[in-house]
Amino acid sequence: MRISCPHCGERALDEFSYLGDASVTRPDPAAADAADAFYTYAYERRNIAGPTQELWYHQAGCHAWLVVTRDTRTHEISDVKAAQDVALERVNSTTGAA
Amino acid sequence: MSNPATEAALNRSGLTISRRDDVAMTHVALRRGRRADLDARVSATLGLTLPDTSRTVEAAGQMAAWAGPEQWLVIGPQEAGTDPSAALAKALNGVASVVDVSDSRVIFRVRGASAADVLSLSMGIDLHDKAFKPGDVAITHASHLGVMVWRHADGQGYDFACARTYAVDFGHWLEDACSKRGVFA
Amino acid sequence: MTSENQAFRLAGRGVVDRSKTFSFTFDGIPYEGFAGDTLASALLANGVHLVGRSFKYHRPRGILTSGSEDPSALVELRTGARREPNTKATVTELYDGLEATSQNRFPSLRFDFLAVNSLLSPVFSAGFYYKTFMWPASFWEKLYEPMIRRAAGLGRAAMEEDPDSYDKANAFCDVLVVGSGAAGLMAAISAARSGARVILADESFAFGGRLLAENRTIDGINSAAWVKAAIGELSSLSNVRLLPRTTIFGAYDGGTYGAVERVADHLVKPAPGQPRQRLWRIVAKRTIVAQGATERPIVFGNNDRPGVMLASAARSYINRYGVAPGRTAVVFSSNDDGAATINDLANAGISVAALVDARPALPDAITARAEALGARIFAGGVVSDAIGGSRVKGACIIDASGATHTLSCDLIIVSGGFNPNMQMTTHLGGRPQWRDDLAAFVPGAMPKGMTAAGAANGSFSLASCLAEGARAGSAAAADVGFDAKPIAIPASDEESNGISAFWHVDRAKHKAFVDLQNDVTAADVALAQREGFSAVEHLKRYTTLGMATDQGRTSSVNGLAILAQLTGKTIPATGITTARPPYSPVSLGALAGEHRGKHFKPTRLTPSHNWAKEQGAVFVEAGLWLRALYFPKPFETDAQTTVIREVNGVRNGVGVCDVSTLGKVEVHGPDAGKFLDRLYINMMSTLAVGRARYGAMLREDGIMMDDGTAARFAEDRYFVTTTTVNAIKVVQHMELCKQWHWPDLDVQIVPSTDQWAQYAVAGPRARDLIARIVDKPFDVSNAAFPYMAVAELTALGGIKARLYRLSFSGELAYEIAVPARHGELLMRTLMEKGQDLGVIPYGTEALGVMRIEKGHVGGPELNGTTTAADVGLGKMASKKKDYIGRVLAERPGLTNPDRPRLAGFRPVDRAARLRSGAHFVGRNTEPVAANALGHMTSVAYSPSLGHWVGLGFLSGAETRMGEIIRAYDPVRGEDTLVEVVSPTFYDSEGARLRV
Ligand SMILES: [Zn+2]
Repeated sequence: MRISCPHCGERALDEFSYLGDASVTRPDPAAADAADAFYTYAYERRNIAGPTQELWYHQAGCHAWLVVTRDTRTHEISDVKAAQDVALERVNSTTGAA
Repeated sequence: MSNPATEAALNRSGLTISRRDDVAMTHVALRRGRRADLDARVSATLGLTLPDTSRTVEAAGQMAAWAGPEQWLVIGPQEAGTDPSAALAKALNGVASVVDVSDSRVIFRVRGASAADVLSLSMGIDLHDKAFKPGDVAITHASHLGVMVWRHADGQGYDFACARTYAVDFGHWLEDACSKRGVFA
Repeated sequence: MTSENQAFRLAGRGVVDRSKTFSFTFDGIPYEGFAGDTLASALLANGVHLVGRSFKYHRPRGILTSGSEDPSALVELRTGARREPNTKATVTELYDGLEATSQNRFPSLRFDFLAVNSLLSPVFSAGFYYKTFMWPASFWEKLYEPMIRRAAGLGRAAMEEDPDSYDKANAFCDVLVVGSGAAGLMAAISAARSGARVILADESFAFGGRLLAENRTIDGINSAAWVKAAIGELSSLSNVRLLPRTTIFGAYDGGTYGAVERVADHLVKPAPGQPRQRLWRIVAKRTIVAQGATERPIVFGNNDRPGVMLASAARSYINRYGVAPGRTAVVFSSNDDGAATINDLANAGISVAALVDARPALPDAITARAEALGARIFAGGVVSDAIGGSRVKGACIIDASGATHTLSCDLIIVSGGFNPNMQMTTHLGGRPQWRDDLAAFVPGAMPKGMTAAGAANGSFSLASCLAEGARAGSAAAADVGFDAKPIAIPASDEESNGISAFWHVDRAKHKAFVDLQNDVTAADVALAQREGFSAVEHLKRYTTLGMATDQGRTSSVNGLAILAQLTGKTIPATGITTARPPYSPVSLGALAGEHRGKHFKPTRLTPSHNWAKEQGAVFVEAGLWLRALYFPKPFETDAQTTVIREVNGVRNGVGVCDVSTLGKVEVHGPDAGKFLDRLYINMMSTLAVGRARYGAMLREDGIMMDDGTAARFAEDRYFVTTTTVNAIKVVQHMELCKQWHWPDLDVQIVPSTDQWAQYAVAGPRARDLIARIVDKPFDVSNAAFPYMAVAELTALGGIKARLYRLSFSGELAYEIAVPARHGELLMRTLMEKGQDLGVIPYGTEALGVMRIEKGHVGGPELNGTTTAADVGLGKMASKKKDYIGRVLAERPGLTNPDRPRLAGFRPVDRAARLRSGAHFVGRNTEPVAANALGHMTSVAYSPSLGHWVGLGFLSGAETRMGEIIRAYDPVRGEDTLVEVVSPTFYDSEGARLRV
């Protein structure tokens, strides 16, 4: 498999390491249901046959975390974004809403 | 270098390998939202513009190489008794985090017209003229060893910056890679 | 011997180089062949057909094919350390001095004692592994398996270390063309002419594929001559890389292909510095599969006898190698291509005794030719059985009316049609499609960027191969942005390609083999079907059909066709088993490449390595690092003596230890303190500039991730250390926190492990020594530079340095760091300036002993299952802030007071030794798992206390202080009474480190 790092270009799989589901984000530790929310966040995963969003780390390259959209049936990668950009959007949208 | 067979192979391919020991390296990382200020101060201090993509730029004996998103390596001569990182830290205070990494890495230099042809076999990235042009830089690995590589402006060679503690292994790997001939025969 | 001994060599035929005669031996007998021969063609040139014995039944086996699909011509190649079993004689390039030996024969190839297995064949029938040897279970290991291994097998591997080297290489291209027959050559030429970067790979040592093996005409010249011109053009282009002797063995995601190049397998041994094989990783934007097709045998009685040969193979031996595979042939076919082999046979002077074709009628041209050759024609007939043992002596023929005829011959040429070599198109999950008109599977939907052309695509005629290849090459180049113009298609002579599906002669009297390599017969397939294994994947596993090193390339379609007949289903409804990489076997040496022996993984050397080596240090691998374990004196004969001396040297004087391997990270920025607060369980934002603090990090699940120190050099500049083994993991975690969890924090992370040579200087005389190292006027007094102080300064006369008042040993101690290039100088200076203080170097063993004496946790305690509270750091956790792991660390399971907690242990009998891994049980309790209270994690002989001490985890540790329990170690047969004590064995008030 090859992943196109938005910073470095297309590289072989062995430059990257995998973390897991990018569709979940760290819950609010101050929330009343934090214990349950963190349990779900840490352990409960969907096993999707189809496109999934995953966190990969460009370990041997630029050290960027990436959000990779990959089809688990074909390994086809349809999108790669810098995780920081995705996260900033998330942070800005929540602060904007609040 | 280490053994006669390697030396003979290097002679055949017209390649030379050397170590650049007297260089100072400074890691510059952008502080949030200060890009315009950083550019202005870098331009005033070093006379160059930090590249946004995986490129190197040179001016007056100093080189700035892209080293990841919003990070650069500034490479210049190491002068005894001075700390170039200290000067840069002062100049960029508040707009970038500046760390002396002169001893973090060792730079090997390969020169020779056949460098791209020979080394392309051993590198996991595409070194073809169309894919890795003079002035391009890549952070990658070679045979399990992390390396930052850039192509010289004249296209006739590369610098390889590898972690200092791996330098002995990397040096062996590089000699081996540069000695590979007969692949096309 | 002279070349006259090659009695079956044909004058004036083939592309072998008759000016280069090679000598070789087979089973010790000397023979000769020519450059350009395979071992198989050279053996056939000398009339040798019997080359091995089969896997289960030890039946004599010969040369069925002329390619990598061969199931039976397996030999041991070379001798000694280079001996390689299961080498296919059909692809082994002949070289001068080649030595080959037949396999599975005992005591000799001609007379094999274990051929009696053939009489025991009911025992070895389908599923024999699963049925015969089921009971009792213990018999399997002791009796059945050794017996089967003796009786059935495939050659012997070398017992010595492989003396050769292997290489790895990478290549990138626009168009990868796999196979260099008519389609492959045209594809490569048309893509290359557009300027695209092209790689053309072929598994043979000669390019041309079937164009060398057939006597055909292209553009008015012989096909072999046409190949020469085409290769001439390609090799003149700088954008083309030709890879002969290279098998593309697998297709992987993202246009990645694995290939193995046999660089020196055609030499007695590789030249100095030359690898034996090279593993290529090829990244291709477009790939054209032009691997041709494999002829399939027809399953009939004794169809495995030496002298039974595929028609395409016979033509290869005649046309490419100039070798007659026999004197008198019977041809048994189901298609025009096979039947037309009578032409090649006749041209080679081989008499054609009969043409037997399963079809009721043959094309007129073939009938006429057969008549002209005086061959008997059996249209609608079959060869039911081969006659002969170690060589074919005749053929039993059943004609269309059912009458039986027996003819003498030494060669039975067989052709059941062709299977396109489309394995690569299915490696990523593509399913092949059945075509009735070809009686074959062809590529179905292919992975992105891949196409097939020519015979691999089911287009068998030469004209269609040439045209399809050219089209595929231009299309691929155009696809990736090249201006690829159509190229002229060369003219070729005509041929006919009629076929009627025919698989299996069910009237055979003898064993009829489907899979020759795994000795699977048609009867086995029928048996499996009767027993309910009627799905192809089940059939494959139950009978082992198609599971051997040939990947069933001559057997799987025949097997499933027979199964389809038995089940009354169509072939497409029956389906085909999935082909997976590798296409043909790949040596482990090639996969390992240079990563073997001490190059298995990289080695990291510390800044004092060379110096330590001079001192005669004993080194230990710690992760990728090589660290000094201890520094023996010449008179010290055991490690224990040395380690005790080193510990005492530190505790009573001063010692120096290289701790540069600790992970080091610069954490800068206005939000650095806030950031570290969220990473560590304790507060880092409140740390004063010029001070350091010990800290612990959790994983999000509440388990300990790492520990280390954070030093603050400026408001916006922290420097943190990690344990040696977790350095990379912690940086990755920090980057995740920075980029993904809290992208709004202004913080920068710069890994700096290699930047600093950092040495612990420990012991009551440490201050005296450090004072001599740092530049004046820096004040190292306890008042000016107290415990946990840090500073940036200069040392050794102007070298920039960092000084930390940290102690891992429990003594007055410092860590001093200088840029790594000065590390060796610093070590030498410390030793020189500390001579009168009695300074000694100490290694990681003494370091470990002292940390156990002090009760500091290390790797065995931070083992991925323990919480901060478990390891005694519970009180460090801040209640004022959130941090990674806080919420889940408060789960009931992790806060359960019965969880084993860190404690110290000392033997009741002070002379007894302790063992890590020992289980704790109550003093009067039975030592069974149900009663386990925890286990010992770290032990050491404590020179400071004069007895063994241990750390471990014990349920209810706090309430058991002073209790005597058992440390039970069934592995070593030990059972020791220990007293539960505080984990801090030495200077529990910490007085020594604050002086
Ligand atoms: Zn990257």
